[in-house]
Amino acid sequence: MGEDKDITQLLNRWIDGDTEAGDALAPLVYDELRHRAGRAFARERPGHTLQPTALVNEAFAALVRVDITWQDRAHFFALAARMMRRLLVNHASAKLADKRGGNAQRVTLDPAAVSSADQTIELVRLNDALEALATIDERKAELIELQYFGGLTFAEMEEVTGMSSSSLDRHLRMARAWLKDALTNP
Amino acid sequence: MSTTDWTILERAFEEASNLDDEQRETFLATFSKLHPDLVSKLTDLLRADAQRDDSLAAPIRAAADSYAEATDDVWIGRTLGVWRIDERIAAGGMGAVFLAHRSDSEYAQKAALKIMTGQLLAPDAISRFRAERQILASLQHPNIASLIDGGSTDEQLPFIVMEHIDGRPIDAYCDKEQLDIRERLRLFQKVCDALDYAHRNLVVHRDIKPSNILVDVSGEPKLLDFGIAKLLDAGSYDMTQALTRADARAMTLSYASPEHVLGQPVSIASDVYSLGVLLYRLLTGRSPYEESEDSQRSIESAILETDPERPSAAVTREGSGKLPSAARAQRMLVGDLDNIVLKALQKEPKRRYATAAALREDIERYLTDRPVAARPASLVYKARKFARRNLLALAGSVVFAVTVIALVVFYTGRLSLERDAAQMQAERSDEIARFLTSLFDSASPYNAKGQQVTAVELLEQGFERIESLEVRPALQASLMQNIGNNMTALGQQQRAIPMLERALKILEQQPQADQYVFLDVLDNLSEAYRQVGAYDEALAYRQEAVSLATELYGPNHERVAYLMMRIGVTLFDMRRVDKALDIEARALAKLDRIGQRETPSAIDARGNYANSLQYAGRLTEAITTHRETVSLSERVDGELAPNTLIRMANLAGTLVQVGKLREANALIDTALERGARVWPAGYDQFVYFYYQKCQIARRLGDFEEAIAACTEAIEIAKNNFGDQSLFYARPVRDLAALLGHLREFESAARLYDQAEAIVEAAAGSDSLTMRIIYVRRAETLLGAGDYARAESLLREALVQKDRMASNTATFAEALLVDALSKSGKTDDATVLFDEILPSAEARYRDYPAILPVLSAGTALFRTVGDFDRALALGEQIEQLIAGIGEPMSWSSAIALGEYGLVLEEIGDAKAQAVLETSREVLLPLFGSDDPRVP
Repeated sequence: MGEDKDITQLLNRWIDGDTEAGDALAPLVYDELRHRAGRAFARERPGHTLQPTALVNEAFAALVRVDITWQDRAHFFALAARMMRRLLVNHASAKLADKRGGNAQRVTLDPAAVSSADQTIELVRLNDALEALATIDERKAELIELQYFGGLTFAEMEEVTGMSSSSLDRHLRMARAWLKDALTNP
Repeated sequence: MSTTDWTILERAFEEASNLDDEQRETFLATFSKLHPDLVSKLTDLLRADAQRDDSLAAPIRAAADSYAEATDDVWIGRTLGVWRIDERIAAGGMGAVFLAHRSDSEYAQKAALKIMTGQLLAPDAISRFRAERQILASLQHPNIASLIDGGSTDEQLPFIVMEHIDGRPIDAYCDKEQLDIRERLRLFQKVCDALDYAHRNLVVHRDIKPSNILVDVSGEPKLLDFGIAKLLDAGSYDMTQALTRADARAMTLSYASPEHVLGQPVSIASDVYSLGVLLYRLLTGRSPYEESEDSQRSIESAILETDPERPSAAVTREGSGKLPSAARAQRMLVGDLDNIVLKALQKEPKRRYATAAALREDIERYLTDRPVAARPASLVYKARKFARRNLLALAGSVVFAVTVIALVVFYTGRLSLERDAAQMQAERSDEIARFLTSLFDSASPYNAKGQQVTAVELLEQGFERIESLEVRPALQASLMQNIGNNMTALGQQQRAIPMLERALKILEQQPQADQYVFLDVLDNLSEAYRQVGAYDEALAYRQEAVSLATELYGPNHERVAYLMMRIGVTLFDMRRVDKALDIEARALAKLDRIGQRETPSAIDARGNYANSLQYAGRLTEAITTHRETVSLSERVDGELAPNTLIRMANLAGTLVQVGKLREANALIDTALERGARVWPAGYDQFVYFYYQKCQIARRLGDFEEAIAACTEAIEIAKNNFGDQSLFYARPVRDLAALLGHLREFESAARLYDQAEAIVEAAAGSDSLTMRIIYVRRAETLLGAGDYARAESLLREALVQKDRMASNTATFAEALLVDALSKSGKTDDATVLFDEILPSAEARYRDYPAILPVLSAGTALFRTVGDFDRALALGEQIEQLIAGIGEPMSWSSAIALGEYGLVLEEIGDAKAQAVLETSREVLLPLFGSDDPRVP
């Protein structure tokens, strides 16, 4: 892939504080995730838990081929988690619009497919709740994004955020409670 | 919400979430006064906090699934070879299925076209892919959807074209048509026929599941996707292997056989197993294993380790009511059908039906009311199940020994019969490893006595085979961990350690190593090191385990707290009790904070903490904590659970120390009585119970009962551990002490000699166990008037006083004061007394443990004529005894007697009354000639 170097450079510039580089990087990561997502998710079915980590790792391996420090990886993962969220939310919203627009539903033999289609609305709700959380406490929303869309382990999150494990734990616990509450008591 | 409000809420949430229910209510009440507008939000948050986190992960997973389907739709309208793709009809694990038609033909041939989107063809494998396809295409059977064509897309994705079946998955069909059990069985038999046909043509299906068996409008089942998995294995590589799980094989886990899960070669027997899962589902509406949102890992372990519930029991469970009548179904399932299904579902391939035809035939016998071939489990099978379920009850007993021998013979017999070389041997040794795991996991180290050689040999052979097994390293390491852990359980720590070290090394060389297995290995290894007394290694590995667990689970997780608690246990073994207490307290606080009070490891942690508290002489806290542990254990583990009984005995031992002898006695009697209901007579755990019983009876002055209990303990220890073990030496020591109390000095001396010789050989003369014998022996020698020898033994014992339980150390010091005082070394005695009194008072001011100190001091100061001090100490004795609030024990009476003698000597009027009180207790026990009676 001829873009390797460019992307690594963009990543480095972005880490150094160049927001334009970040803006340029985001769509590249998004495309990469989208390119891989269909296949990766298909592989995960049925009944297996989604492994965003695997996908994000794949994207990372494809996009950034030189050895970079964990710190830099961390930035990449934060970006990838955001892009992963955007990818899935875009899909869910489109699906929802499709349904609302009265498109005839396809007959499908797989009952699982029907239920998963119905559940896409849940992601939109989760996303809305996450956005609402971000307006009150942006940091907490970011942490949830890293954990659930980026698939980072606790230790990786400590690295990425530079937070102590106790305050990370505290933020996550409150954020999860807030979101669960928002989803059950809209 | 304003930033200030949010901050307030955040702080309040943090604080309240760490409180227990009661404290939380108080907190909320206060909070609602201060912030009436925020309290309802806080309550909502706390409620949400207690809920599971599924609602956050599930939508993401669902969206991902949906996304995958949408991606599949890009194929619609494309032409692959001569096939034009019309619409998507299903999404499956390995790819999407489309309806397609021949674009080059006049007559419209419709077909199902499946694209394996998860796979890329390896360039050099295309010809093999073609050859396999050729074989599949030759399968012609009315119940098999035939393979028409296949190839690869421009992107190198393999696709196949099959006869298109317009139908429903077999499970959905049965439910929709409301087929009864006989009809379901008839339908299932056709599936067996089709599969048997394929097997005879040397094709294994490998992916039997409802969505691959469609029933068409005429009611004929048709098997799809024959051998597709094999086709792919032969002709492709999985491009994601390095990045996801090492065994990212395309398979549907819930229908997969144990050997498939283990990544071993699959065979006809694997298909038979999947048929068993299918039949289970058709008959009960349920999976043989608990279906949950749980991880792949837990499904795998269920397939490998869990025995399915009998279909007749499963059918009436909630959520299975798809059959017309569950109650009727249950009646039909009981017996033969249960046996048939469970035979197909045997974990060991050899124990299943040999062919699909045999399964079909057995169902035929059932339907025509002939005796079926599937038997309710064989004798060995039953013995094994029995051993697994009743392990604790059996361990150490004769039945257990016989079972183990029978099984070992059985398995080694099976091994030697194997013709099929290495592959099968490897498979079998896995079986053995797993089987032994289940057998020994909960066994205590010394249970399998007598069988050790055989079991150890077997494990060693298993280890060697695993070493040469060509499986993925993570599995290899995991098996080694299993075996190593079993070795430890068998008391073979020295053999276990290199095995576990090897497992560790394998995992370390794997960049993608399974961190969870890694953690298990660290945990086991440190336990093994702890048990051999290599405490530095044990601590180092345990610390590593704590860090790793913190990385994997976050700091506030039960596993982390549990590992911390194990560090505490190691520190306790090193007799660094203060440090142990510190970390155990932190582990417990953590468990409390995360609301995990009632898990087995949390109760364990609490019990360990209570033991440390007791050892350190913090009796009030020890008793509270022991009581909490017992009540939690009774509730969670049950009143008859072995753990509960042991914890009751622990509590009894602590109650003795605060003088609550009657409660202690009632408690130990209850524990003994319950123990007799759950354990066979002579079970090894009784040694400990009788030890406690003996202590309590002795303090109560019931020497007959004490000797009986002690003799029981000796007998059981001898039978279980042999007469050269420490388990045997300890009750011998206690019996000697009892005889000492009864002034049978010669017999006592013989028993002490015997106990010392055993301990000398088993643990060495500088062991803690030996020092404790010295303390008891010195007590006896003091009674016999041999002060010089008592002094030297006590001095020897007190070299390790920091490692002794604090009450033992205090007792030894009191005895030494007494020995010095009685042999005329009153100056030394006074110096020592002044030295030990402050620490004894700090710990035991209100407890009987200080009585020997006060008593020795009173006698000492009376001897040297310092009546002021003697009197002060005597008064302290009197007050303390009154404070205990129990009928006076004989040891209290002896102490009180010392006070009486002081009063008498200074001519106090109270003297006679005090002496009389003491004599009332002592005379009936010891008689008037005894020097202990004042």
